Formats: sequence, structure tokens, C-alpha cells
Amino acid sequence: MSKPILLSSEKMAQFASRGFLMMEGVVPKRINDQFLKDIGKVPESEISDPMSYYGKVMGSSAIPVVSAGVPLSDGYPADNALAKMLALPKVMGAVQSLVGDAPSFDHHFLHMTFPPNFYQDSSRPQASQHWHQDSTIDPRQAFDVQIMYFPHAVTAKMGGTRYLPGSHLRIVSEAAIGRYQNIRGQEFVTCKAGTLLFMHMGIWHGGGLNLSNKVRYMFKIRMCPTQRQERLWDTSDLGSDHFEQRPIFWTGLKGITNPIHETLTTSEPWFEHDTGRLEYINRVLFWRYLLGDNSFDADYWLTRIENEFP
Amino acid sequence: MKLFYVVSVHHTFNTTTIICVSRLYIRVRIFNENGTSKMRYDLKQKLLLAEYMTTQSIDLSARQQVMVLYTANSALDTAVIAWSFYDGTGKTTHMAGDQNEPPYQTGLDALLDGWRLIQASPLVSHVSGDEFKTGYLKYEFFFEKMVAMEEV
Repeated sequence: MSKPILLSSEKMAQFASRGFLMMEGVVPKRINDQFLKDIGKVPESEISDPMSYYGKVMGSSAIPVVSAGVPLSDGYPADNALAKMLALPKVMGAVQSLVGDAPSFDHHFLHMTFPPNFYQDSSRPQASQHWHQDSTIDPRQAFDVQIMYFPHAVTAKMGGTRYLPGSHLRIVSEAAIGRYQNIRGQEFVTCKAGTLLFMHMGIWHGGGLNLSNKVRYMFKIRMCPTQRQERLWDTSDLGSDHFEQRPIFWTGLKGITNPIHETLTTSEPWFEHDTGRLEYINRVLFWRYLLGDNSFDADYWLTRIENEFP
Repeated sequence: MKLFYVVSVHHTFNTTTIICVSRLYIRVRIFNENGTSKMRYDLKQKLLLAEYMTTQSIDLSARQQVMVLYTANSALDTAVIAWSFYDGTGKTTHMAGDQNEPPYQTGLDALLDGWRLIQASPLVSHVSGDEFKTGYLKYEFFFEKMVAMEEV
């Protein structure tokens, strides 16, 4: 087995800050082809509506049925496309960096978005999926990861997954955010075949509107850590100045850069003026958790308010 | 003959209350569950409300368009960061992810364009221990436009 390629500190900080990491086209064609073959072809003549298509695919596909809680490494037979995907060095390394080397399997699901012709005889109009956060209210600092696997190329017309970078630390109750339709900074997956999106379980997202003439597939696997998620990535690149503070606000135009501090204090287009600052604070708290060191701070956001005297 | 416009109907478990306005009166009528009239109150004053309502010529066939804007802070003249439309005329359909640019740059711009503000989220003090928790978008403004169906 190849050695896992762990994430760098900078990549890990990007995940802590924005809640996702994209690996464009990382899964080779042979695995994508095998996975698409496993899904199986349902003849168009048998299609009446999206739900019946789901039923047919679930009944006939070769995607394994796996119980929640089994070790991820036991979830798929070695010759299965999903086992091969998870064994890719970059994929294995990202999984290990985020949830450790012995994560447990939570669930998986083949998400499909259907083109307009699937709705001709349906009483349900074609629509994008509401914004939601998966599962339920989850206030943990420990986090699960969901891999979104796009086995074929996704064009803009196909309504790729919509997601909101940086939303993962907001604690909401699943589809309670469905009232929001559009949020500044929302992104839509358009990608090459074999792209993976690693997502913190808290990311706000939803399926898009498929206006192409093909069914769009996305396979999601959720995995849970079985250990404290502390310094699981390749920390060899953490600079010696990692705990040092830099000048803030009045920076003399030159600016003193520190990639990780910079990443943790970069705003998103949807940030509110006041809660945007809370997002920085929550990112720093998250980074402290990942480092296992409560002395870390970026731009003094926490040090300032922790300056208390008994 | 006085011309009354029905402005609201309230149902309870055994009564129905209808509030109507004319140019000079506000009339409250309460009906039993079998539909017979139980009480009638006429407020015989020239009330500004009645004046206003009648001069606005309420069109009961009008439909409501609702726009929700989320702003960067509690001021209406700050940037819109999120938005939604729900169209009661049924003539347009809006859904998640259908636009990348907001319809107005600020909430004030929506007012200037004739939208009526009908609700704003309150400012709530932070509960001890929860000061740094973030969740739902904080600054939510509901706007409406009443659209006569013949305009659609």
C-alpha cells in the first residue's frame, strides 16, 4: 500500500478557516469508470420520476450496504471502486490528517439530481435543494468529515453542489436555514471527473438545479474520528514564529504576513460586521483545538478578551 | 349606504370576528359558530386609520410579494449579504442558488424602490456563555409589495 500524503499546515488552516478542501480530478479515470459502472444503468424507458429512479438504482447498484460504526477500512471490499478511491495516497493522507488513521464509517449515499424531463409527469416541480447543514444541531469541537465524490465532470448547467465557504462553525438546526435562498460568496461545484470535496460536517450546502439532459451523480461518505483530532497532519512546516503576534490594523502598508494567521483572519463575502469577528475567534479556537495548545492566537482576537484578573 | 371593506377575519374555536372599515367607521362584527351575528360594534369616529385604509383602496384580489434581505449589520443602509424572494402572484419562481448578485445593494435601496418594510429582526442581548456562538444570519428584514393581479 502506498504511503499517505498528509496535509500541510497551510492546507489544514484552510480547512479550519473555510470548512472544506477541494481535490480537483484526484481520482483516476479507471476508478471513476468502475464506480459509474457499479451505479448501473437504468433504461430511460423505465423512468417515471426521481423517486422511482432512486428506488431502481438503490435496488440494482453494486454499491455496498455498510452498517454505521464499522471501521472505514472494513467498509468496502478491496476491489471496490470506493476502496480504491480511499486508498489513493492523497485521499488517505487527507482522511488521516482530518479524522485520524482509524475513522469509523457513518453512512454513505448516492445523491442524484435530475434533469427537467424527469419532472414532466411528476407532481413535484423541479427545484434546487434548500440550504441545510447535515444531520442535526452539532455543537462539538470534534468534527466528522464528509467526502463528496464527483465521478464524472460537472458543468455549470448540471447544478453542482452549492456550498457556503466558512459556514461550518455556525451552529444551526439542519434545514432551519432553508429560508435563505442566496448568500454572497456561495459557490457551486463545477469540476473535472474524479474530484473530491472534503467537507467539515457543519458546512451549509444544497443540491443545485440540473438543467442539463443528464442525471448528475455525487457520492457522499461521512466518517467519524475515533481519536482526539490533534496534530494529525504533517506539522513539520509549522514555522517557529507560529505563536508570535504580528502588527494589526496599523501595519505600515507593508503588512507582515504569516500564512496561517492570514488564513484564519480572512473574511468571507457573507460575513456580518460583528459576527465576522466572532468567526475569527471561533477559527482560532478551532485551530487551538487542532494544535492542542490554548496559547495560540491570531491577531490578538482571543488574548485581548482573555486578559482577565481574578 | 356605507361601503365597508373587510380588513381582517379572525377565527377562534366558536366565534368569527370580522373587522371592516369605511371612510368614517371601524366596524367589528362577531359571529357565532353557526354564522349568526353575536355582536356588532361601530366605532363612530373619523379615525385616521379608516381614512388611510379607504384612500389606499384595498384590493382584496392583490397578491403579496415578499423579499427578505439580510444585511451586514442592523442598519438598513448597510450591504445586503443574503436575500430571498417569495412571489405570491405565482408569476415568478425563486429558489436557493438562483442568483449571485443581490437585487439591492442595501435595504434602504429597497425602500427607495417602493418595498414596504414589514418586519425587522430584534437586537438580542448575548446570553452569558453563548457570546461567541454563531448561527443564523442576524439582521433579517422582511419587505412586501402588494401587486394587483391585473398588473401582473
